[in-house]
Amino acid sequence: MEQVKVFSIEVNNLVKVFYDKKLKREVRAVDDISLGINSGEIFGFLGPNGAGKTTTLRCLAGLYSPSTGQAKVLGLNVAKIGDRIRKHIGFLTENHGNYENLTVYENLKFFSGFYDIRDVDARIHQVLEECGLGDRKDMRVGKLSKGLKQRVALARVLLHNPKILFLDEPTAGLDPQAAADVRTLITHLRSEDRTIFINSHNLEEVQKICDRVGIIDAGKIVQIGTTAQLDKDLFGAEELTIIVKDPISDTLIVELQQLKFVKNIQANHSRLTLRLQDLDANIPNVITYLTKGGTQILEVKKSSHSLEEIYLTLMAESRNNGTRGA
Amino acid sequence: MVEMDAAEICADAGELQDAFNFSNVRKIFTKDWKEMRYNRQLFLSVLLFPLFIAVGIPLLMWGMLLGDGTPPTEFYAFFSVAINGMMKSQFMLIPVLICGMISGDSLAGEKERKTAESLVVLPVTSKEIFVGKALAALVPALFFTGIGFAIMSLVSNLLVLESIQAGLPLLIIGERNFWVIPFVLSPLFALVMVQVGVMISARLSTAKSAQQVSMIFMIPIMVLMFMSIANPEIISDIGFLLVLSVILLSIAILFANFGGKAINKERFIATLG
Repeated sequence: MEQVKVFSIEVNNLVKVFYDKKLKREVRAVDDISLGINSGEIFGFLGPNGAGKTTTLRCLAGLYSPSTGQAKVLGLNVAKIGDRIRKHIGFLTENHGNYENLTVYENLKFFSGFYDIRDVDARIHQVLEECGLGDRKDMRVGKLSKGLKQRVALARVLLHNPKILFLDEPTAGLDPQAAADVRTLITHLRSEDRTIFINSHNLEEVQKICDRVGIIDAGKIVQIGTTAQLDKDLFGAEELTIIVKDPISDTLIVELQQLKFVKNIQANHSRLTLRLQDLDANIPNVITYLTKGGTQILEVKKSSHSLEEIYLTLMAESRNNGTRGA
Repeated sequence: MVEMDAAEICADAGELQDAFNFSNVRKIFTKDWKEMRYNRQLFLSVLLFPLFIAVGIPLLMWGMLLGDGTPPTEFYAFFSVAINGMMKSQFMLIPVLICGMISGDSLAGEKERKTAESLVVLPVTSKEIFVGKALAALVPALFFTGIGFAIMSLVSNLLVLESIQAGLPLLIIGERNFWVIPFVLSPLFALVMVQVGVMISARLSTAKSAQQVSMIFMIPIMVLMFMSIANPEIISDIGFLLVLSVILLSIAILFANFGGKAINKERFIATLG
C-alpha cells in the first residue's frame, strides 16, 4: 500500500475574502497563509482581534470554504469532504456553546449523538471524570460557574476522542484559577496522536502549553516557530545575565566590549547583561575571562525573551514595515 | 509529520460523503423540544394562545349571550354562525402563530444564546438542521392545534348541550367541511410558515426580530379570515379549501427544496461575528 506523509493540519496559500457591506468592498480576512502542524503537536495561533485567527480555524473546520488555497485536516481537503469532516475533529467555540437549560448530561448526550460512539453512557461518564465534572452531571449548565461551563464544553469536544482539537480562546473570560484549571486539562489532553490547535490572545498561556506558535496579523502570517526559535530569529544574539559581588568598573566594561563574541553589554551596579553570539558556546569564555581578572561571580543566568516581548516586537515590525513572510 | 495510509484516508473520505441523515434531524428535534419546555416564556405563549381561542372565545360568546338576555334556545344558532364565520379561520391562525413563535426562535435563538456555532460545527448538514428545526416548530404547533380543536369542540357543544339533546347536529365535529381546516389546510399553512420562519431565523440575529418578520407571512391568513367573516360560504366550500390546500402544498414543496440551501452555513456563521 502506498504510504503518504501528511501533516495533521495543513494550510496551503489559504485566502478567504469577505464582502464588507459597511466598507462596500472585499476584505481579505486571511491572505495567502501556509502552515503545517505535526501530529501530537500543540500549536498556538496568536494575533490581535480581527487578524484572521477565527476565520482560519473556521476554514479548517469546513465552516468556511476557502476563496483560494487549501485547508487540509488529517490529509483530507476540508472543502471536498464537507460537513462530515467534523466527525474527526473537536471544535471548542469561543463561547462555551452549551445549552444552558439542559443538564450537563443532557448536553453531552445530545452532542454525542452525532458521532459514532459505541457505549455512549460509558463514554460520557469517562469524559465527565476526566474533566472533573463527575458529581455535576445532573446540574443545569446555566447554574454552573464560567470555569465549569468551559469544562463542560471541553468534555463535549472530547466525547468522540478526536485526533484534532481546535480550541478558540479556551480560557477567555475565566478567572485566573479557572483558566489555570482549563490549561491543566488541555495539557493532559496532549497525546502522541492528538494535535491541538489553540487560538488565543493569552501569550503566557500559549508559551506555557504550546510547542510552536504562529503569529498572524491582518490576515498574513508574521512568523511561525518555537518561542526559542522566534527569540533567536528576532533578537539575534542571546542574553546572559551575570551578577557579581563588587560594582562593575568602566575598565571591565571596555575590556568585555572588545571580546569578539560580545555583541552588546549593559551594566547596572553589580549586574551585567551581555548579548552574545552563540550563547551556549561562549558562556564558559565569559566566565573564564571574568574570574581570571579577579571578579567574583554570584549568579549566572541565561535570559530569553518572553513570548509577549517577541509578539509585541513582531507586531510592531509588522505594522511598521508590512508583514513578514512566513 | 505523521505517516498515514493513503488508502485508509481515501476510504475515510468516501465514508464521509454528505448524505441526509434523519437520525440527526431527530436529535435536533428532541433537543429543541426539551429546550422549549424549559423556555417558560415561549412554552406558555405556545400553550396559552390555543387555550384562549379554544376555551376563551366560546365562553366569551356564551357570556355575551347570557348578558344580552338571549334565550338559551337561540344559542345554538348564534354559535353555529359564529363558528362558521370566525372560528374556522382561527384554526388556521393557531398553528401558523405557534410556528411563527417557535421557528422564529429556532436559529436566531441559538445565536442569542450563543450556541449556534457549537450546533453548526457538528457533523450535520444545513438540510438536517433545517428539517430538524422545522419539525421542532411544526410538531408542537400541530399538536396544540389538535388539542385546541378538541377542547373547542367539547366546550362549544357543552355550551349548547340542550339544543344538541333536542336533536340538532353537533357543532364543529358535525360538519364535514370543518375537518378539512384543522387536518388539511392548517397543517399546510403551518408547513409553509415553519419553513419561512426557520429561513428568516437563520438570517436575523434575534428571535424577537425573526418572530416579527415571520408574522408578515400571516397576512394571507388574515385576508382569509376577513373573507370568511364577510362571506362564511367561502370557507365552507370544500372545493375552495382543497384548491387552496394544493397551492399551499406546492409552495411547501418548493420551500422544502430551497430550505436547506437557504441556511448557508457560511453566511449563518458570518452573522455570529
